Amino acid sequence: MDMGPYAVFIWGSYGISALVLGALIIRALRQPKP
Amino acid sequence: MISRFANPQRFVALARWLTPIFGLGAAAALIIGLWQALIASPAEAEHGETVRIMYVHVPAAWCAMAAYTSIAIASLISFVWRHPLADLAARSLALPGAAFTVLALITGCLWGKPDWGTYWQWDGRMTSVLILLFIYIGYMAIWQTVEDRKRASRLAAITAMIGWINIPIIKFSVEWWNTLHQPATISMPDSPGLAPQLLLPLALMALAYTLLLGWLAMRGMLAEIAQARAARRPAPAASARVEDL
Amino acid sequence: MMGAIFRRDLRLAARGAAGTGLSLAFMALFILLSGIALGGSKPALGPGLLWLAATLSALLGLDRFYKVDQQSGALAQMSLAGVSDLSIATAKCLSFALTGLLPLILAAPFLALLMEMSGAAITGTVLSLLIGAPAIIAYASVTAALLSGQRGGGVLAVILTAPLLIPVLIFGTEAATVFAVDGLGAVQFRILAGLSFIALALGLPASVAALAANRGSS
Repeated sequence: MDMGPYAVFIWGSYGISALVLGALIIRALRQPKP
Repeated sequence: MISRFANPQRFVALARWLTPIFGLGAAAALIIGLWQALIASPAEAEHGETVRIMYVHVPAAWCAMAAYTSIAIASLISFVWRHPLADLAARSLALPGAAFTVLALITGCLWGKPDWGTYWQWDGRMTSVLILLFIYIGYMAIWQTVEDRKRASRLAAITAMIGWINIPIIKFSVEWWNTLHQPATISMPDSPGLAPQLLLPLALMALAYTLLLGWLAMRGMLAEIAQARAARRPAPAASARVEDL
Repeated sequence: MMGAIFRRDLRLAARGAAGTGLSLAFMALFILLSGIALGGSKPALGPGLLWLAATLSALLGLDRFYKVDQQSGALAQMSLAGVSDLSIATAKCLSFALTGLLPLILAAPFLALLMEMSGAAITGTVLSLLIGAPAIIAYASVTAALLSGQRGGGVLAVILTAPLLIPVLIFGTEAATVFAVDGLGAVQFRILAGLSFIALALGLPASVAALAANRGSS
């Protein structure tokens, strides 16, 4: 998966997206259910 | 249909099976989408691999706008018909919507640097997304600052609706400003005109993000209903035995 | 009834001129700090800085709009006396226009001299502020009404109002700058007027709704 010269920007984008969305998902999973 | 689900019981019954569908759907779309985005799809002609950033940037921006529009609609329903779950929906969409906005901004910056040489430009679209973030912050601040829930609901609804109506005006003004003050031709590429091989990963990721947004919102609503029920349950009888004193 | 509220506000403002005085002082301070931070006169930045100074100063002084009367019970008394929320909002907007914003607009030419702005630029700025004033007042009214039941922070008022004022800021500064070339006929002035009109159409009903919500009658 050679992402070319700007690989760090691509992985950075996917990384931060995974981080933020992951945090939202974990928060939602820990919420109580009726 | 809306009045049918004014009853929290009915909504919970619906959400019980709808939420996992959204969740699993999001997961499936995400897996296939990521595979398409990172592996299966080709690089772009002009800018190379960095087009892959679009697959996390555009869906985030789309969800940021979609969440706010949903908040505005829910606010209208809450304000006019006093639908009890409409408030709940609006409240549950706020944080996810703001998070998507932040993601759109960050990924936009990371896309701008390799493709246009700078982390930030005051182009019409990115500036509007930044303004949207402040609209979210103001909206969430109302819920945080006003203690009485009923009052907060009315005030938040007014805030959301005024904000939403202003978004086209803001976009128009910012575009106008941008054409005057910023070098032309620099703006985030748009989906129309994309090669079809690039549209597929974009569509999949957009679908994944949207289903995720729905899942997050419904989980939030269910959580508040659960908390409200727990609060209403009578507290266990206090122990009256002398030995416990 | 509206006239009575308006005159009362004017009297209160004249008596407690501290509010207006502080707003003027803040506006002057903003220009002073801008001059120092930006390294002296920057006439090209003049219209923008004056717009910022006036807008921020007006927004930071929003307590006088509704909150004081809300918290003292005066607003409740007015409604008990049969005054409609729309009358209250309109009267309050007019009072704020006169005591809150107009002094700042009148101070602008003098502060403009600190920045060595040209005569045409100064005129353009004052005219743009006047034409954009209804929009500033209308959206300030909405935020003031929303927060009239809250204690504390003027900063929240700025955060809530700022996105709504961005179009006005854009076209206000544009109009001020282009006045030297195109005069009042410039399209920017017409758009600015349109924005003010829209703001009034949106802002007055929203203020009415917010006032009603905060009075607990909804």
